[in-house]
Amino acid sequence: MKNNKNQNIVIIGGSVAAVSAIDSIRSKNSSVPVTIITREKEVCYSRPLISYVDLKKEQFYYRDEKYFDKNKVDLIIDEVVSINENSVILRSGKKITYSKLILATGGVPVVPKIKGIDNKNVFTFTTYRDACEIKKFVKNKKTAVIIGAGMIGIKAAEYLAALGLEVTMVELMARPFAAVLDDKSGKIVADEIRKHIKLILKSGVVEIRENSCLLKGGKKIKSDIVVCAVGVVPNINLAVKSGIKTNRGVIVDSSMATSMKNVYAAGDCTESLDILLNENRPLPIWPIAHKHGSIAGLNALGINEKYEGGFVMNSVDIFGFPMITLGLSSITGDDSAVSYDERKNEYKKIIMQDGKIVGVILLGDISRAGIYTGIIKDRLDVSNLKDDLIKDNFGYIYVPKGNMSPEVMPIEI
Amino acid sequence: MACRLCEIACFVAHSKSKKIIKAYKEESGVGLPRLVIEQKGPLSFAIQCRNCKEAPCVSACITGAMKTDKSGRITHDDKKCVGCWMCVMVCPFGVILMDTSGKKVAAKCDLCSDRDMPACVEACPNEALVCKEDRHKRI
Repeated sequence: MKNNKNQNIVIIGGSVAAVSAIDSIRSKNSSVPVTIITREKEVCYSRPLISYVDLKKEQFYYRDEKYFDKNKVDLIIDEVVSINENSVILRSGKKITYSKLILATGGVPVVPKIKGIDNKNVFTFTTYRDACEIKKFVKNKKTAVIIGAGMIGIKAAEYLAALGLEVTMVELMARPFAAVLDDKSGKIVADEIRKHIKLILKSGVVEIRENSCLLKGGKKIKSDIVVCAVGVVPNINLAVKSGIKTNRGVIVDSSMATSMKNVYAAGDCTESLDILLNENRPLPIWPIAHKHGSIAGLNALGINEKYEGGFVMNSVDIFGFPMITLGLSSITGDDSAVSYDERKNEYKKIIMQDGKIVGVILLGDISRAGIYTGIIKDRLDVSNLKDDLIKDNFGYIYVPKGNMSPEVMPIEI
Repeated sequence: MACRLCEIACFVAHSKSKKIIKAYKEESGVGLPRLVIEQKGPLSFAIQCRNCKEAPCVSACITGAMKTDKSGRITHDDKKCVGCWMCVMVCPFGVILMDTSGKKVAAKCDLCSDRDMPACVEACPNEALVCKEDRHKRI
């Protein structure tokens, strides 16, 4: 990999998929020119951390400011407006050539069609700039409405509550985190949320005004600020404009290559194999973006590495109450093991299909959750363990022997 | 045989005082033992960070606190950690623990970076715990 003549890799985007691509490229090749083009001035910060009001600067950045220098990466703060064969055109008019390109454009928040959605007091909450603008805007303001009770909604609620606002969350569905929780866990989480803010379920905002929101059914609630958090979709605008094949996300093969020659894509802008559904779909979570980035980086260097697929999972802290969901956690079927400790407010549900775990919900006690993640990833048959799975002392010792790391195999005495 | 001597040694080694009585009396609940002892019928073992080659915890870490250093160890920076528990969610061995005694942070085996030999290995009366380098077999 010493001959870098005429080789240069350009990466569009500046979050985890891009950083992971750089890390993997530099682990194999220290000299190939790498350029990163990103719209945001704050590069390499961690987007999930924008809700932490008091975070120190060094905590907030995923990689320190010397990262690009250390890795010999050229940084361009600009926006790519089109991708051509072997070059990209920037907003400033500049043309940057590439031999390999990696798209890591991430996701964009969904903005629903609601009367007044373009008002000055309406924000989304996915970037550092969003967080800054909100902080500035809420000075001397008292009330906030958050539309949507999912991951982003809950983080926005914590942020605004920490800034001293009275927060009301409005959710269309009958439970928060509707995509990943079942009825029972939804109720537990709703009760937890209600200890800290107001939560209105099965309702929607139909009109946003300067100091209030009008709900379905005519109810009016005070809101000096509205944060729209109904979801995020892959940011495929640039790919579509440039003729790269897309579906809900940018379509890639197992080497993260797109339909355009020499162009790869990674992270939240793509769709990739969900091993539990056996179909391609957006899997917009941090660890998968990291894996994608690394694989795209290696393939851009000519090293053949394949993405074997993944599944969605999330770890969320709801005002201090921990929740982890894995896989297809909201599906309802007969084959599941459930335990609920009312006194400790701990809920555990393992959903099985054909002897294999396909979904997990853990509330309150999330310790050692990764053992389930490993079992799902390895598609292990655990039909004979069904009752053990929800035991308090469930652990690695229950993992079928053939799948254990040889170093930690227990010895019978 | 689940004597739990490794657990005690680990707890003391990660305490402020490094003294067994003081550590248990005054620091109980603070720096947790960084290993887990599992038991199922006649089986038992102690399990701690395997320092995976492609470590899921490093991939999942949203702050950059969890890193692979040059020697292949997985290191964790308490100052960067915000306690999001992404690492807890992905560690297939279930050996990343949650320290909630102060600022919420992940806690894991650091191979006793300030000692020649990890305290748990030294303490094991049965020589069941060994410390060796074998990075290829690890997942």
